[in-house]
Amino acid sequence: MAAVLGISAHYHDAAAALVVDGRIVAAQQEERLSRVKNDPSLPRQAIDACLALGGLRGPDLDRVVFYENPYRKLERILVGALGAFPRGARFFRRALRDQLGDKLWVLDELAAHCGVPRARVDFVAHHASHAASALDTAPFGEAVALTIDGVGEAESTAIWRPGPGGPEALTALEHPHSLGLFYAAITAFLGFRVNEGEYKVMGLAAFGEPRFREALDRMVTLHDDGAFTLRPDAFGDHLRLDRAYGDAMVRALGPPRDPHRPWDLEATADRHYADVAASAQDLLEDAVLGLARAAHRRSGARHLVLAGGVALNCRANARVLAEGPFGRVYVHPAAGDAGGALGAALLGARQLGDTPDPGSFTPALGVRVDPGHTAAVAAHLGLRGERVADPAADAAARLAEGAIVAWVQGRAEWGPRALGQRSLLTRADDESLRDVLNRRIKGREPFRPFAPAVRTAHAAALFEGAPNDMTPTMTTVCRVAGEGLAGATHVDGTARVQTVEPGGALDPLLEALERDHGLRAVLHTSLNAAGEPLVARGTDALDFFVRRKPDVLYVEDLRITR
Amino acid sequence: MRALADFVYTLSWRLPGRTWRRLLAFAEAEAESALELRCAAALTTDAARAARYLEHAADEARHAQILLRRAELAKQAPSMLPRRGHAHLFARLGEAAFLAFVHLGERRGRRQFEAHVRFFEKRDPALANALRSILADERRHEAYTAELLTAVGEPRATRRARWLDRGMRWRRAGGALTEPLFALTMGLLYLLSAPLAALVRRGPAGWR
Ligand SMILES: [Fe+2]
Ligand SMILES: [Fe+2]
Ligand SMILES: [Fe+2]
Repeated sequence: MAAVLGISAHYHDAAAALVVDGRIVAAQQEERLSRVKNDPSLPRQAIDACLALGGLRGPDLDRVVFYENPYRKLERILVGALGAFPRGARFFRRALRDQLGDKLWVLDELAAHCGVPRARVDFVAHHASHAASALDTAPFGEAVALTIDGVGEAESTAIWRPGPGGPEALTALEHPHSLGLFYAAITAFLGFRVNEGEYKVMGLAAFGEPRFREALDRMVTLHDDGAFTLRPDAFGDHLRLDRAYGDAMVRALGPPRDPHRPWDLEATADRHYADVAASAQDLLEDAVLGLARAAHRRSGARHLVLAGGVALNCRANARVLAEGPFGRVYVHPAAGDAGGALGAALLGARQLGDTPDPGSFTPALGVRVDPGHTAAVAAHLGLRGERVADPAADAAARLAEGAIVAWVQGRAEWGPRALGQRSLLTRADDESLRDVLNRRIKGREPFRPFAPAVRTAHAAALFEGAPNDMTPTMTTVCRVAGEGLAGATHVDGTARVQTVEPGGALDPLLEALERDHGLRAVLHTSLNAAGEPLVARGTDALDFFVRRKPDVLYVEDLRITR
Repeated sequence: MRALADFVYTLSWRLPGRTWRRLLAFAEAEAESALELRCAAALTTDAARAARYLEHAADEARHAQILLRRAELAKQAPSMLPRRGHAHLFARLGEAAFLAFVHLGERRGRRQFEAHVRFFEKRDPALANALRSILADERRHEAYTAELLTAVGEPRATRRARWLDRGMRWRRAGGALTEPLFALTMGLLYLLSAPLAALVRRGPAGWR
């Protein structure tokens, strides 16, 4: 019987998660509260929010668990700087400043912030955190875990079987042989921000042809046993993420894309880059599939769970389910490093004798909204706020008329996808509304796909292969088979569908849309502008409403208009 | 003395590449205060003040965009705001001292912008105009924070804010002084560790 706080911090996407007596009580990413996208700093506000949600104070915690080994990590970084001698001088200096500045003292800082003795603060291994986040939240047992990311302490990829004390490593691959770093290099090459633009590469890939696949095969070798090796001169030395690609890649693919030039997919120049994206995506999918087969061979398990940043690649996940050897595939929705916080807490709980309860997992683990306070702030902003008896029916009517609706209900989502708690919605059958949403409201590139949300009961009629264990949290894509989804279908005929169970945040709204207006789907995207974190609290929603001007905002039963 | 100050000021804009770098730094500062204000809006329990902070944040975000555009014009190349964190002043200071701190910053900002407008009036009227539109907002910010500060009424808040403000500026200046020393020491350490580089192996390929 223990209260355990898990923490990820200091590289990207800091977060805190609280597990009490094996039950998952709260999880919150720092960026949502600090309003800094991918905020890596010590998640003080997220810690406080988790404690408040659990009704605890810092000293009540039995254990605080950091999601990786800070000393091993430091060692790898400094050794890497030396290995790049003499170019690594600047990096060495910066790394030492960061490390001596705060990273190395993270455990002490956590003890101080939480008000617990230093002896109660511990750490676990990076990939073990990822593995636990997937194994202990999966809707099924008998699984093997595959964790794939840029790099943890030294590992980039690992295969785990569940054990009584937490995940047990079967085997691993080490940095610099890393699919995360491969995809980061392509992301940087295409002029996107690393650790953030990976999603754009995947969206862009659908517009291109994989005609550089052979060229990329000379940079990344996929072996028969599922392992892969990266050729050093095709990749940067990872001292500078914005130049994660190396000279050999530039020689093979031409100059990297100027990040400032607006995208024009009709133009030859940008079709070239779409082809690069398509080739990289193709390679990544084959590599992940190879890893999944390796995981199956080594474990004999019937099902697979995935975590680590690469597991956010929903096209690769779709292929693993369709072509791989597993009956079921599940991805932890916060597969990136934020999710490590929850994995660390779950591991800590096991170490203290608790058995994690996967049934206690829901992605709605973050902060609540206060409609009363939000209404008062809205009034002071000169906005119209009314409490409505049936917000779902009310919003459905607005959606049917072609409105763009900001939708804030219940506790905030865990992970990068909006899942109906902090969402931006419009009709799914109208491509012009999608473009309005993309350009005017969100301010993002034209090739970014949107997702439809449908009730689970309709999924099979509208999509091939849905529902499955990934569709509730939008970690896969499915081929569109039904009508009325023009605005939510990507150029390649797929959609990142969310299936909504009875009782889900979007369920009443979808029910009203169908009952009153004959619509079975809604187009669904995250409630944020390009480059900003997802909205968390009522004031964040008002801030978005005032600046980006959707037609109407619902905060629980409060309807805000101008 | 006045002449020297003027000379240094002129030089601060005149050195090659200085104009766009300074404008970009201003844009960054504006974006940072927009973040501070969004957090303040979420943290204050008073709905009226939350609304003021949100409006203020929207102003600062707009200023950041204006200054970014101006920096791009001066640089004759597109640019991007680096993504940086902020100091979480509201959470650290509490509302009264936060307000006092913001008020001090607005006052300093207003004075600096007045000087910039004067400087560019003849040299670059378009830029002067853009700065003048920002200046009007800054005057408003200075005034409303003073009002709220009186309303929140915590006499020692201003003193605390002033100390923090000074502390932050000293630390910045101190950083600028110690930075070369740190760089030199670390450079030497790196050189001394150089022989170790020969021992560094590339990570093993294949399954462990
Ligand atoms: Fe990771
Ligand atoms: Fe400003
Ligand atoms: Fe201001």
